[in-house]
Parts: sequence; structure tokens; C-alpha cells
Amino acid sequence: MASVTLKHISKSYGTVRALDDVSLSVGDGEFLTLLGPSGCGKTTTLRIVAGLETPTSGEVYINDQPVNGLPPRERDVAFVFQSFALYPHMTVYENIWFPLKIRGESLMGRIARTKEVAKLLGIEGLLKRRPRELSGGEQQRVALARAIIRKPKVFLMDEPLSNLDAKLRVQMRVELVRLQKELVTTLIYVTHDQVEAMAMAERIAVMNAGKILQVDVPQKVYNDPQDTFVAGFVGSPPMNLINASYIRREGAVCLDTGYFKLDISPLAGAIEEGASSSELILGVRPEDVKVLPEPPLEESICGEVYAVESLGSEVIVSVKLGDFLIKAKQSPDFKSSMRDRVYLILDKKKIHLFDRKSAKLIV
Amino acid sequence: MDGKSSIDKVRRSRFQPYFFILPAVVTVLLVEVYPLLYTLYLSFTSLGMRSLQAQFIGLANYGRLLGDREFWASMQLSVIFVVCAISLEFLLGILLALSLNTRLKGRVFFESILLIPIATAPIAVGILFAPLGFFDDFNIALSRLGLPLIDLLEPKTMMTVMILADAWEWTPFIMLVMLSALQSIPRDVLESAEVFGASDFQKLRLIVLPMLLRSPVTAFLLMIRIIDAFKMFEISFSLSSWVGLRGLQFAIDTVTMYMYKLTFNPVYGWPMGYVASISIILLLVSITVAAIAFKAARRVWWIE
Repeated sequence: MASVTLKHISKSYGTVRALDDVSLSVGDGEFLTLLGPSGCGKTTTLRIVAGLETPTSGEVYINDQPVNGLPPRERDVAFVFQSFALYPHMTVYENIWFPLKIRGESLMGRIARTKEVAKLLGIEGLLKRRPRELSGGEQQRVALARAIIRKPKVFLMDEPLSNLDAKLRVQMRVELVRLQKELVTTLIYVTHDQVEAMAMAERIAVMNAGKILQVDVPQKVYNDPQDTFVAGFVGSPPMNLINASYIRREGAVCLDTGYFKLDISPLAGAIEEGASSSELILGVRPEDVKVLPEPPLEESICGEVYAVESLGSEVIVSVKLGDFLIKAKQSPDFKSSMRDRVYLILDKKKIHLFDRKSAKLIV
Repeated sequence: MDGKSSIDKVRRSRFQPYFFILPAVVTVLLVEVYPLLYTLYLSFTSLGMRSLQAQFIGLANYGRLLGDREFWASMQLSVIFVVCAISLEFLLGILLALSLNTRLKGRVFFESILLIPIATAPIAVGILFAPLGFFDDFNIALSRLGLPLIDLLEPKTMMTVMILADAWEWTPFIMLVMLSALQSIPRDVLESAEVFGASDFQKLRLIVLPMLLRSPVTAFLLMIRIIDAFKMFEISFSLSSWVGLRGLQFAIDTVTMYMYKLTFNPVYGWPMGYVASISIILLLVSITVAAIAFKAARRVWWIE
């Protein structure tokens, strides 16, 4: 077990800046997910912790010990690669006990330990096979067994589930969480799949373009996204983001999106304090939009149904408002078809407002 | 309509696939099976200067082979040559590949230089390594340094020179193939070994070398090279043209050289049937050795 701390890590490849002043601290025994789109620098961050890449500047600490100059083998970490990176010429036995063999442990000791972890992962029956004779899920388990056999200080996993089919991925998700709890080992987990991150992690660090945008528990990342990128990345479908201007008119405070206006008087104080200009972005989650077939008594927005996606447990309705679309999550008994006229009510208690210039959350 | 129905008939026939591979089959039969069978046939006949009409003589040629000391001496030389040359070529080829498997500047330059031997005609290689070739300069250098000279006409030296000449010609090729095999080892696999604690030496011993030696490419290359080395003729031909003057011709008479002499030296009386039987035996020996090496290649390296 160990904590991992990154202080002001930057990494450049030539003129390309892959990481820009990344600071992060992962607690002892914590499950932290690095979440971001491809090319955002999450894998580079993980490789820097492992020692497979050297940061251009900044320091890495494992258990408060600086490890910058140390090669990977002296850092006592285990890495699970996206491709699993099993040794094709070795049997499953030899693959799993590789970390022990490197340290000169006796054959008997290795066999005993290998059987132990194989049992934990349910692959005792595969020990004599070779990697190419295994299915993707089995290879994944072998890679995990190899990672846990030596009880490393830190587990590093680089999209370990992305090579599996959808059903297996969901199953392995649960098993990974259980495994990490059983072994009580710090785990840094890289993924581009926000569902995976939400479902598994204790804390999520959302990254984009080489920067960490927000580090928080999954619920906070979902409910209080600190900027428009996080808001638009997390959630499925993600938050609706609509450009709007802030207008003060006859005592009331309004948001004008060009298509509809929204009275947001209760938020006026916060906006005037936090916004750099009147140019804002309105954010509202699909589940906070109500779609009605008839005009209600309260203030509503009239629009036209653009598409209806039925997902079984819910229905995603896309409604065309002028020249933009807004997505709403409805219960499965919602009935509507294309070009129907509908009326939207936004839950004003749950809307978010972002500054358009800085993309940061205002309220 | 008629044309269409006849096409349909062919399409329906279960012989149709064979019809399409017929050109290939005929070509193979003509250019490979026919000469082989003809050689086999010749090896059972007495065709030669003394009997220009081929007479069937059963296994008599093979019987004669068993008692032919010159043949066995040449077979022994061939085997020594193949074993030494192939070992040396693979050893050097792999070492060079490992040392060039970096991102160092000038790598492309070195690779290009090493390609020169591959492009050289084998007979030119033989001439280059003959006593008046560059070993002469080597001897001059030795004498300037006051060191003893190498007697290039010494039989054992000749064999060494022959092995060196063959290695000079083939090592670069083996190196290039090994280099591409090395580069096909996934980066992840090497990095995972690194993370799990392997030192550079352990990575080489446990990952790189076993993956290299167990790859089908290596086994195939080894097989091809063994067959090819048994067939090697030009180097021993050009070297023996020199030593022939001194009457030491048996020192480097490999099987192919012996066949050449039997065929073209009038003293032997052009024994075509007998030469055919030797070539059949050579074919069997080289294919057997190559097949054994092919199977054994993946076992030369152990991990535990």
C-alpha cells in the first residue's frame, strides 16, 4: 500500500505538450480513475507514475519518497496494459510468476503463490496453456494475476477492459472493484469510458488536453461539474449545453438563448459575482428536462421532436429548439413521434451556468 | 445460351476447383517433379562414358556409394561446413541485430553497408576469400607487425576460410531478418517485463531471445539456410581451383564439389548414374537435417 503524489508534472514531446502542470494526489488504498478522451494525457500520466516515461518537469512521489530517477523495476508498481502484454512464449504459469522469478524466488514458492492468485481469479484450470489459447477475458485475468502476485505498492491499469466485449466488460468491472477492496492496494485506473469511471472509482480525475480539470467523488463530478468539458463528458447522454446571454429587464433577471428566455432571478446575485461577462452557457442534464405533449400552466418552451431513442428502461427524446437540440430523458411509457409539437420544462433548481469565456462553473 | 449452360456444368462439377489449379499443377509437375523423378531414375542406371545407353542396374550405384571413401570424406566436410557456417552466421546475425536494434543515429548507414555482401555474386565471394584475395593483404599486415603468417593453403585453414566466406556472405541477411523479428516484439511486452522488475539482461534472456528463437521466421530461415549451405558450391570451387595446383584438393571437397569433379573430370568417366545417386542422397540429408533443425529451433533456449 502506498500513496502517490504528482507535483506540477509537465511532459512535452518536441513541441507537443502532452501534460501541462498536472498535480494529483492519490491516497493510500484509494481507487482513483483518470478519465478523459483519447490523447488527453491520461496514459502518459500513468506511464510517468510507472517510470516508463520521464516527465519534462515536476516530481513523482510514492509514499512521500521521490521516485523521479528510479527505473520502473525499483518503483514496486504493477501495470496492466490495454493489450494485456502477456508473454506469448510462456505458459500461463510462467506468465503469472514472472515477477517472482525475476526476484529469484524458488520454483516451489512460485508454484504455490501462482496457484493462490489463480484461484482468486478463477483461472486454476488454465495454468498450463499459452496466452494465444485463451479468450480475451481469460487473458485479462492472467494479466491481473501477474499484477497482483507480488503485492505491489500501487496498481496501474491502462484501459484494462477496453479489449473485452461489452458483456464481459460489465462483469469484470464488478470483479475489479471487489479485487481492489480485497487486496486494499492503491489503484490508478485509466479509462475513456465515463460509465466505467462512475461505476468503479472512489474518486475521478477528469482530464482534457493535458490538464486535470476536476478531481472529485463520482457523484460530485456528475452533479457539480466544474466546467463545460466535464459537464459534456460525464453522463450518458451528457449535459445539454446551450449558449445564452444574461439580461436584466424590469427587475427580472433572464437568460436569453435566442430561442427562449428563462427567468433565473434567484441566481442573479451569484451570476453577477462570478461571471466575467453576460455571455454564459446554460447546462441542464437530460433527466432534468420534462417533456409534455400539451402546454402546461407554468412557463414552458415549445419545440419539435427531432428523434426518439427507446433504451428500454428510459427514452431519450431529442427536441429541436430553433437551431439547436436538447436531449431529455423520459420514462419508458413516453409516447411521441418525429415532428410532434412538445413543451419542455427545465428544472430550474438543477440548472448549471458556466462562464462562456473561461468555461468554468458559475453556479 | 449454350455457352452459359456449359459454364454452369463446370460450375456444378466437383472437379471445378481442380480445373482452376491445373496450370499450377502442370507447371510444378514439369519443372519440379519431372527433374526429380528423372534424377531418381538415372540413379538406378549405369549411364556414363562406358555405357551411353542407360541400363537399369538397380541399387548398384547406392551400393558403390557405401564403399566410396571419397564420398564419405566429402559428406563429412559438408556437414562440418554446414554446422560451423550456420552456427556462426546465426550467432553473429543475432548479435548484430541486437546491437542495431536501437534508435542510434547512423543505423540506416550501417544497415546499407551490411547489405553489400548479400548483393555480391557467390563466385566473387569465393574469389575474394581465395589465397590471392584480401587474406594476402591480411598476411602483409601480419608480417609488418612481425607476427607469423597464416598458411592459406593448409587444409584446415582452407575449411576455416570457406566457413568465414560463407558467413561473410550470409550473416548480414540473417541480421536483417532477425532485426525485423526483433522489431515485431510488441513494446508493451517489453515494458511490462520492465515494470515487473526485469533488468536489461533478464529482459534479453527471458523475453527477447526466446521470442526471437521461437518465432516461426527464425525456424524457417534456419531451415532454408541449412538446405542452401548443403548446396553451396561456388566458394569451394574457387578455393579448390587454387589449392588444386598444390594437389590438396580433398581438403575442401564438399559433396557438391565432388559431384562436379565426377562429372567434369575425364578421369572419372562421366558417371551420370552415380552422380544422380549422390545428388539424391544429398537431397535427403539436407532435407532431414533442415527438418530436424526446424523442429529443434524452438528448444534451443530454455527459460527455467
